[in-house]
Amino acid sequence: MKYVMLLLLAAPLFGQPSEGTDLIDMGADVIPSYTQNGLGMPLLDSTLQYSWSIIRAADGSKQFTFTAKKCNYIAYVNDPIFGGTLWTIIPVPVCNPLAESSALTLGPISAALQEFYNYHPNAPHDAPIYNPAPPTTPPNPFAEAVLRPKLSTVTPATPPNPQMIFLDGLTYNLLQFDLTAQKITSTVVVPSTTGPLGIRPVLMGAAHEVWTANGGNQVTVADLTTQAVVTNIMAPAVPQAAPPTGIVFTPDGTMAFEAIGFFSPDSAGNNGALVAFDAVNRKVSSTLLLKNGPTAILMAPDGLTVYLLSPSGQLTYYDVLSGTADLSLSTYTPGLAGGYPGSSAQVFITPDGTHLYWNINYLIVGFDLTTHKISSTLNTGLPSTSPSTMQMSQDGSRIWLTNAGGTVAVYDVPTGGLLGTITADPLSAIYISPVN
Amino acid sequence: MRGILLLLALTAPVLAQQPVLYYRGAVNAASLAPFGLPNAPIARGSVFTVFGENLGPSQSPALAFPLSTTLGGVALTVTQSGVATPAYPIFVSPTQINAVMPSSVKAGLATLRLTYQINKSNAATIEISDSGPGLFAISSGGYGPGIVQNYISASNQPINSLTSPAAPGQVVTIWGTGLGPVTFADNVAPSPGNVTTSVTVTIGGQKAALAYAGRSPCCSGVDQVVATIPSNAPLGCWVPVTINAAGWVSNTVTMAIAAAGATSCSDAGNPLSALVRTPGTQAYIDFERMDTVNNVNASPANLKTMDKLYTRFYTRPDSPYNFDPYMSYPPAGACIVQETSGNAFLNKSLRGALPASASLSPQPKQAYNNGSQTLTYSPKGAFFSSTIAATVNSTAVAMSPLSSNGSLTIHPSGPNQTVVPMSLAPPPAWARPNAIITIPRNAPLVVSFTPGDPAAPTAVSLYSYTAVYNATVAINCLAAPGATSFTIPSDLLSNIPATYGRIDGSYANLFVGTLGFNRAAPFSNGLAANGIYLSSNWLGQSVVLQ
Repeated sequence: MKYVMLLLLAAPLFGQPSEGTDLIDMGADVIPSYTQNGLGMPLLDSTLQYSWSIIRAADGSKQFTFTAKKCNYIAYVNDPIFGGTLWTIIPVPVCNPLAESSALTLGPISAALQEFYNYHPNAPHDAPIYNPAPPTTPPNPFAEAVLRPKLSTVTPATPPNPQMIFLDGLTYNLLQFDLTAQKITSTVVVPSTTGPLGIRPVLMGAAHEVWTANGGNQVTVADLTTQAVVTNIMAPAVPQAAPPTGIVFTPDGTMAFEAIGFFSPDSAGNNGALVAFDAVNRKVSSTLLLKNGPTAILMAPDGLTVYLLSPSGQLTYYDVLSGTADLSLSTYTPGLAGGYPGSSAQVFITPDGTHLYWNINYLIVGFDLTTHKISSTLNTGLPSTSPSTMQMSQDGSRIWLTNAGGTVAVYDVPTGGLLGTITADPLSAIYISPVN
Repeated sequence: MRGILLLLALTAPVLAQQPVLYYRGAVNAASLAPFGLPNAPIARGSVFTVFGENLGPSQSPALAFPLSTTLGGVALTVTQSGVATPAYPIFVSPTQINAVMPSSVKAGLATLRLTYQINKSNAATIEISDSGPGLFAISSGGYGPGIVQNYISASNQPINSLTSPAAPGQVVTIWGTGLGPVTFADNVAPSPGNVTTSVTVTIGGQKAALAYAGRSPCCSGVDQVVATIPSNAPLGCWVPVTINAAGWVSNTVTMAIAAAGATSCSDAGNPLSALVRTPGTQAYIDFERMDTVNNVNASPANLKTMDKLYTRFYTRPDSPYNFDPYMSYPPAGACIVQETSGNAFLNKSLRGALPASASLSPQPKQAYNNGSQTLTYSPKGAFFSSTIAATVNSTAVAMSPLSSNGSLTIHPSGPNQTVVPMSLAPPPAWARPNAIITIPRNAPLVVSFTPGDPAAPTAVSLYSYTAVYNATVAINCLAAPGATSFTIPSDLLSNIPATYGRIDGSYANLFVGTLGFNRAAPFSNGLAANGIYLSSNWLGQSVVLQ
């Protein structure tokens, strides 16, 4: 078994022995070196990667081939303020080959070389061959870590980025509007006039990549900085032009998810699909067919779960890490028909990831994602026949619901009570400012 | 030993329906640290707990070595990069499972699934670490008195309690899990021996000499740490105990330490201590003034001054393990760290708070007078807690702040009418900078101040709520009367999550306050055999944790 493991490890580094040669032994390993991140927690500093093989050639001679390289993941810089040394993660780690003399001092290679000389000591031994690997870029060990926001530290919120990004609905233009300067700052022509769209988050700085859905089987990636379409991503497993429901991203922007509802069930009775994208490489990573056609898609604030709502009253939990959706729960509210209606309604997840709130006409329904039960149903008192819009504050403490008559109901989430109503102009819609 | 096993089993006290693993429902079995907090990952080789529905049978079968990967029809798998590894269930019930995480898994995110009979659960994401110590507590909730044995002799090792304190210099055994992986199989009787990870024990802020840190031979996944109480450890009823394993810091539990030969603990100068240790009907009245600068995620910055009144009439249980997160202060020079899910500053009590059922129902009618205005109220719940006066940037929002001649009348015009004079402890002087306070979590935090009352202790508290994980961490420290600074160790700070650049309801506040222990006023009436009124006066500022 150990030998098999060694083969597996070595496979990417070595070619197979040529015909007429025998592979006597081989090995490879990665030796990590850790430092402390100041919290006393280990932080990957560098890795030593080596491999070796002993081959018996057709003429009976034996060859020892080895390689070794070091990959650095952290750089040390002087602290300009307090003195001392600070570490910083190298954005693009680079591996460089070790000097041959240094490689020979590595214990496993030294031991293997001894084995090489000891194996059939009377047979001819070729001189050891050192193959210094060219500089390479190793896999980013932090790619998984940044999925979890707690592992990154950022400065407190700066004044919100006063940008509004939207499809104009007529001219196939994706627009970025600067709310401060009150002018359009970017225009990209995309295939869709309606979206939906998703703004890919970035850990630092302003987001500039927007994904728009053009019918179920195609997503367009647009860059607002260069004002160009970067690529169109096809989802072949989804019926063409099936209506997309929404696009969401994990908080680190590495994964995207598009919910799609089919016009009619497929032959297996599926009414929709959830397409998962590798947002970094901009390709479909998986497609999950859904029995319940989705009317809304939400990402949990911690990026670990995607929630799909449906008009039939089923809420599906999609586990991001495993890529499975094995939990589907009823959101049926006594006295109300069905579940989340989709059009003419909005749904929000609280920043703590514990509750969903959606409106069914004049009612605000709260669903506890932990206990899997309707936690509150609030009658706002607005006329039931009026179309309405709903918004939630960024901190999840307030919900505003308005109707066509211009009445705005203000709902206090922590106490579950109606704070009051505000009279606005008829046909009002609610939009929250960046600081709310 | 049997008692220990029983206590450990209590840390975990249910056919055809799909088992449901709760969101963020897999945690360290000892600390129950909420998912997402820095010390929440489940350690390799540790005991972890899973909460949910339809998880297993109502009776947990007996265990025997070697442990099986199935217990009572329940099996758990941990999947990483497509490789599924079975865990070892050691306690099963319909709503809670305890299991041993195999040492063979790797640190990082993983998917946990449970199968009960033929029914498979949803997937739940868990985070695994090499080490992640949790200390078992009597409460089974990761807070309050820990499961600590005082070593008297090989055959006499009572559980440390308020009436069975340990003495400085005495050897104690601290029970926990998550020190680190082992080289032997996790399903066999553990071989005694220290784990290879570096372990330190801190008792009352002092490092303790370590005699053993490794698996208990009794139980898979359960660690015991044998240490000597430092000679300079502070005396008190709730002396904090933490363990650091390879940089990962445990939850804080407490133990009682008293002079050699003492049969009970005490906290000199702390009138609340006696109240928590005394059973029977009680009343706790706490009047707080909080003067807080909010300049993080607040535009523009603002200054809020709030007078808060908290009153409660209740029955304290008779237990040598009593603990109250709002009244059990550590001895001077030490800190107690508390972790809980939810927002403990808004709508969630800290773990260990007395349940509503302990309260007198109904609570008595009360009349608060701030010196010029009277607020009469009948608490509708188990207690009264409200901000009754506030100013924002000097503009009054509610009643006027308490003046020098306030009072609280309990049961006005009733047979138990009692008037408690109310006065405010003077605030400490703490120079708050105009700039945002940024606190690195990897270095000790030194807070300097001038005591408001040299005869009263000064408390330093750091509260942090992180919305994305819906968890609160509270560090409550006590400086001795007359002290002019306090240092919060980095070990404790490391368990607070970092601040994010989001306006999502998260917050972190640092408070320095005068605890008016020396001005506490006892009272007694027909409703409460032991009542106490206490005031405190706090200065606070929002902070950024990095």
